[in-house]
Amino acid sequence: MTGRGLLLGGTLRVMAPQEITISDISRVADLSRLAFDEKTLQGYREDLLHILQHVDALSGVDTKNVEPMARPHDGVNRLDEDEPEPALDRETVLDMAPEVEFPFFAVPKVFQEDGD
Amino acid sequence: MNRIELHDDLTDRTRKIRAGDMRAVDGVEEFIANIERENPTLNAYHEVFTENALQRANEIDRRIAAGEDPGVLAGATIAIKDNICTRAGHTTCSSRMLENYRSPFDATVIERIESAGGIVLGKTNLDEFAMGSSSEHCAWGPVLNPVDNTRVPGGSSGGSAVAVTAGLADAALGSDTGGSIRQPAAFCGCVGFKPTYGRISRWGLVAFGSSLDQIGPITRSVRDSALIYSVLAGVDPRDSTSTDIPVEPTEEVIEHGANGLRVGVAREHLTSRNHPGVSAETERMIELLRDAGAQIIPIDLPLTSLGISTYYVIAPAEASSNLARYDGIRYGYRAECTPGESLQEMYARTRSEGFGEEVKRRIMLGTYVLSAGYYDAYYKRALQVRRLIKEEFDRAFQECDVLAGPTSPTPAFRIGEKQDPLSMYLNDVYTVNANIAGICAISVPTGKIEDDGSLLPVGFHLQSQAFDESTLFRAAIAVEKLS
Repeated sequence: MTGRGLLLGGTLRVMAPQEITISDISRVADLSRLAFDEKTLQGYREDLLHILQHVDALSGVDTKNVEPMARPHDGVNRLDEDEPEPALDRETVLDMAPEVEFPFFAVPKVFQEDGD
Repeated sequence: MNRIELHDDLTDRTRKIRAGDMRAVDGVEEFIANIERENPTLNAYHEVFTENALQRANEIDRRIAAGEDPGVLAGATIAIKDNICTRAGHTTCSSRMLENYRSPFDATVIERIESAGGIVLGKTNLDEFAMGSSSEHCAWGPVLNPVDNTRVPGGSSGGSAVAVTAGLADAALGSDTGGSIRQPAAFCGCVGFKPTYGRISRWGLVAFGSSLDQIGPITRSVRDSALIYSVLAGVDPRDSTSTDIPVEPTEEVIEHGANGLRVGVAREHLTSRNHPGVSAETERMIELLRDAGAQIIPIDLPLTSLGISTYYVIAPAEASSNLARYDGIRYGYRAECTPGESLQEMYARTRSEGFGEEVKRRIMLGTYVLSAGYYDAYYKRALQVRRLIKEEFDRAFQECDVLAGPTSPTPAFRIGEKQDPLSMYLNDVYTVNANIAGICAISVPTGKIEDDGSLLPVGFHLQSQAFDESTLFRAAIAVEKLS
């Protein structure tokens, strides 16, 4: 068999995944800007563990000197000329927003009383 | 069964309309009547643009009567998956997050359809944000398979596949990130095509996995698929990932037939994980191709067995980034404010209330694999395996013109059957690699198999090297004729 990335020893080497603690999953939820109760968080923890056990098959592949491929065809972004073109007008944009104080998007306070 | 047999495919219908032998408005009225009768059961459409469609049809008829040619899609009714932006109606992605969202622009594919005389008939339901393989994860209720209403139509472009199979449109557009056009086409018994990455503009496609997503047609025949592809394909300055490699005309090549075609068959695709009927049907079609003069070549594709593992790192990672924009500020759902709530709390409540369970699961998975300490072990490694899978395909396509196998390991399963997320993900085992590698692929319905009292369609999956759509359509037409 030719080609790179031969499975080590010709067989998949599956390792036990790292444990995902409730603290880990809470941090992931924070990063994701999602909020869950304890039971739901536990459910997602178990789901992720189960899925990552399957994903862990990737650890058995020899990836030494293999360049990561973020996009098919190793495509390179074609850049536009730096010339201004018409964009959406303010009214159209603000019309889509849930809460507006014209000409602004209205949002809860960014800085709280205690400086957070 | 809710399948309405139509005598003409889109190619026949548009020829008749352009020749003045039938009126576009009659076609629209026929489909509207079918939708009114069947959609309450099937839930294929979320919105139908009756007035717009009739207006467009009348305009097309008027232009033809005046001696003009509106284009190769003249009068064709097209259902649009509801993650493709249209100025008409809403673009909801079947999510509460975008329940009331009206797009201020049409996607490039919509502009091209209408420039060619096509008529956008309405928006079809999908798994929320295109994340799913059953169209059960739709905020507006599950979509039902017209062949057997107790079964799923597949996903995520289930609504579009149902619209075509049940006679609710001439054709439909879907999007395919890991099989979301091809698998529902297989489950419903129609043709589903995913072009090479970059062939069709993603401008106006709500992003899920930006390095994996492609829009493609779902149709009743392969020639309809090739026709719609010829209208949609081509570089778009508004999509920097669209390719400027010329689109080759397909008409001449596709009639060359199976004689002399080198068809690669991977033993990894005919294993005991398949429903026995799926394997038997696949092997039957391979033998028919052999009898028709194709050369059947055994191919080894060991790395493609890692496709699911690779995909379910890359796709959720990209999704977690793409869905970060839904924050309740500029558009979409915002959770009702509680006094003293911080901006961060508002974000979290908005997103937790606006997104469904599967979407949240994939965001969590994607965030995890991208986070500090895990990025190299999961995301970077998946991108490296991605390159190895692509190289494996490159070697295979030196030995064969197309790869053939089943689209899905099973026929359509029952609604509610797959509760475990991983068992749902494993449905995509044969389709994901085409997205990982960026090559083109198509599912063509062949026979039907028996499963637990139902006779269900099976899809035959063909894959060709990137940018070789001509060879892919040639093989697909040959399979269709042999079916």
